[in-house]
Amino acid sequence: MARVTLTNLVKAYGAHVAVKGINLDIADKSFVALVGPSGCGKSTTLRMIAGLETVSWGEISIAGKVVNEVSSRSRGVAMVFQSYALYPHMSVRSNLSFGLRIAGVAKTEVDRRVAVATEILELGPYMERRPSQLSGGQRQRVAMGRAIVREPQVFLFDEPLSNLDAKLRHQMRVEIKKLHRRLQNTVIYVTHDQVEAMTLADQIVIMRDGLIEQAGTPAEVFQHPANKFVAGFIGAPQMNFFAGTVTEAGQIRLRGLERALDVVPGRFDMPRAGAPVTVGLRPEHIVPQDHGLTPKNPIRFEAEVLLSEALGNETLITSSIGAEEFVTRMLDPRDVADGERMSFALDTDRIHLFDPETERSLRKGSDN
Amino acid sequence: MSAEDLAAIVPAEMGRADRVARRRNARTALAFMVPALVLVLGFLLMPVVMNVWFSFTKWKRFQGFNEWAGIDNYEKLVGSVNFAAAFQNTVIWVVASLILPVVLGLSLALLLRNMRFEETAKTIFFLPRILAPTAVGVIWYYVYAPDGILNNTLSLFGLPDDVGWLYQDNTITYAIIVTFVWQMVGLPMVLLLLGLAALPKDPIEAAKMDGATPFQVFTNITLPLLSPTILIVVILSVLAGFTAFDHIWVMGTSFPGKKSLSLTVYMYYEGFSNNAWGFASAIAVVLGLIVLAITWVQAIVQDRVDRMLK
Ligand SMILES: Nc1ncnc2c1ncn2[C@@H]1O[C@H](COP(=O)(O)OP(=O)(O)OP(=O)(O)O)[C@@H](O)[C@H]1O
Ligand SMILES: [Mg+2]
Repeated sequence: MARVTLTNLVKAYGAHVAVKGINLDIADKSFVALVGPSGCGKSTTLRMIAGLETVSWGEISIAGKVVNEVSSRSRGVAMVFQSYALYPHMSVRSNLSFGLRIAGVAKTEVDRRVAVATEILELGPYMERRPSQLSGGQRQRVAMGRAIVREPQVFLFDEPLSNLDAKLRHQMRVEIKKLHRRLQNTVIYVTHDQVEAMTLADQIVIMRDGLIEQAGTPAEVFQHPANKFVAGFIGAPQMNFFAGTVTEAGQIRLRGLERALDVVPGRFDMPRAGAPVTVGLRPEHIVPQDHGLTPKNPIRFEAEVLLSEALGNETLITSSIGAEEFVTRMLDPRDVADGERMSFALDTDRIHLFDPETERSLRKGSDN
Repeated sequence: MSAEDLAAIVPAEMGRADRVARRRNARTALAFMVPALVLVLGFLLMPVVMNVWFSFTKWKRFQGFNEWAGIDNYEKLVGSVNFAAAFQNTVIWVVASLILPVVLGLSLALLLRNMRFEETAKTIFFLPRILAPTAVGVIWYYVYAPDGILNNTLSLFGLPDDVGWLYQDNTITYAIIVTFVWQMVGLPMVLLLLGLAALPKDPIEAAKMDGATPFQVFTNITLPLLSPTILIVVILSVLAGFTAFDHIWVMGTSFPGKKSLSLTVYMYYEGFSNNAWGFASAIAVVLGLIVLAITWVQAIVQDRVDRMLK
C-alpha cells in the first residue's frame, strides 16, 4: 500500500546541499518522526516528499511508484503546515471542502466527509468562521481536518504543534495518535520536540546536517544510540559525557574518580589499554544518595553542587567529576543549597561508550 | 485609604488629568496642522466652492461673473452635442481603464515573474511612464499618421493600410487609449508584481497539496488574495483614465466636434479657448460629481474586499 521509500535523496539549493543522500524505507501504516536540530533538512525532506520541492538527485517512491516527476496533487499525500496555511478568505467549512470541491467530488460525499472530520476534530461551532477568527489550536485542527477529508495515503506533518502552548500540545498529541490509529495511514511527522517523537512515532529518524544519523524505534534510539550525537539529542536533560581512559584491567578511569569503572563483559568493543574513550551516562544513572533508583553496580563519590533547579516533582542538580560537569535528577527532592557537598552513586552497568574520534558507539552490534 | 475610597476617587481624578492632557494635546495638534489647514482651505476647498459658484454665473471672457445664470449652464450642457460626445468617450475611457491596465498589467506581471531578466523587462515596460505624456502623444501621432509606421506595417501583411487612425470617428478614441495604456501599464505591472511577491506562500502550497491545478490555484487562491492590490490598481487606472488629458489634447485632430473629446478636454476647450468660464465650471462640477461617485463605489468595494480577507 502506501509504503514510502527514499533512495539516495539529495536536495541542493545552488551550491548549498541541504539534504545529502538519504535512504529511508517507511512501511505502510507506520508513523515516522523526523527529528534533528534546526536546519538539518527535515522540512526540505518532507517538502520533497510532498512535491513542493524538486528532487536534485535520487528517488522518492510512494506505494511502489516513483513520484519524482509527479505533481503534488497526484501523489495522494496531504500535508499539515507549521503555519497552518489556511485559506484566509474562506470559512472553515470552505477550507475543509476546498480540495474535494475542486476534485469534483459529489456534494453529498463532500458533506459526509466534512461532517466526519468536523466530528472528529470538534469543529462544529466554528464552521462559518474565518481563520482569523479562530484561536491557534482551532486553526491547527482545521489544518488537520483539511488533510483528513482528502483521505490521503500519506500524511505529512511539519511541526504541526510547535505554535501551541504545552497543554494544548499534549491534547493534540493524543488526538493525532488516536487519529492515526483510526485512519491507519502512513504518517511522516517532522518535529523539534523529542517528547512528541518518542510518544507518537513507531520509528524515529534522527537527522543532522542533511544526513540520517540513526533510524529506529523510540526504545532503540534511546537505549542504543548509534553515536554520541544521537545519544546527546535524544533524552532530556541530555546525556552526560566524560573523557575516560581504558586501563590495563579493561576498566575505565575518569579523571577525578578514585575507582575505575567496571565494564559489563562482552558488551563493548573495547579499545586497547591506554586509549581514550568517551563515556556517556544519562542523568538518571548518576543518583543522588537516597533520591532515586539504587544502582546495581555503583561507584560512590562526593561532589559539590554547582546549581540546583527545582522543578517540583524533581530537582535537576548540576555538579562535576573532576573538571567535567554533569546533570542529574533528584527524585522526591529535598531542599538543596548551592555549594553543598552531596553523595552520588554512578551506575556502571548503564554506561555508554563512544569512540572519541568518530563519535560512534562502541557497543557491539551497533554498526549503523 | 480603602479600596472603595480609591475606586471612588480614581475615576474622577483620572478623568480630570485625562481632560487636561487631551486639551493640551488638541492644542498642540492644532498648531501642527495650521500650515496644512491653510493650504487645504486656500488651494483646495476655496477653489472648489468658487468653481461651483461660477458654474451658476454667466462668466464669459471678462464679464458676467457677477451675473446669476441659475441653471442655464447645466441646461446647455444637457442639450450639447459636444458634451454628449465627450461624456460617451469618457465612459469608454473609464471602462477601458477599468479593464485594460489590470488585465495587461497582471498578464505582464505573471509573465515576467521569476523570469531570468525580470529586472530588465520590468524596466523596459516601465520606461514609457517617465516620458512626458505630450511627447508620447507627438510620437504616437506619427505612428498613427496615414503614412506612418502602423499603416506601413499593416501593408507588409497585406492588410488595409489607408486607415486614418486619428481622423476617423470610429478609431480615434481607441487609438488614443492604446497609446495611453502603452505609456501607463508599467505602474499596474509593478504594483501587481509587488502584490504577487507579498502574497503568503503557504496557502498557495496548501492548495497545491489539496489537489488544485495551477489554474485552480490562481483563480481560487492567488486572485482573491491579490484583490487588495488589484483594487488599488483599478482605482489608480480609472482615475487616470478619467482625467486623461495630454494624450487626447495632443493627438486629437481638432476641437470640438471630433469624437476624441473627453470631459477634461471639453472643459479645457470651453474655458481656455472659448473663454466660457461659467460653462466650463459647470463641466468641472459634473466631472467632480462623477469622481465622487467613483470614489464612493470604490469605498464599498474596498469594504467588501477587506471583509473577505479579514
Ligand atoms: N529555498 C531555500 N534556498 C536555499 N537554502 C534553503 C532553502 N530552504 C532551506 N534551505 C536551507 O536548507 C537547510 C535545511 O533547511 P530545512 O528547512 O529543511 O531545515 P529544518 O530541518 O526543517 O529546520 P527547522 O527545524 O529549523 O525547521 C537549511 O540550511 C536552510 O538554510
Ligand atoms: Mg523545518
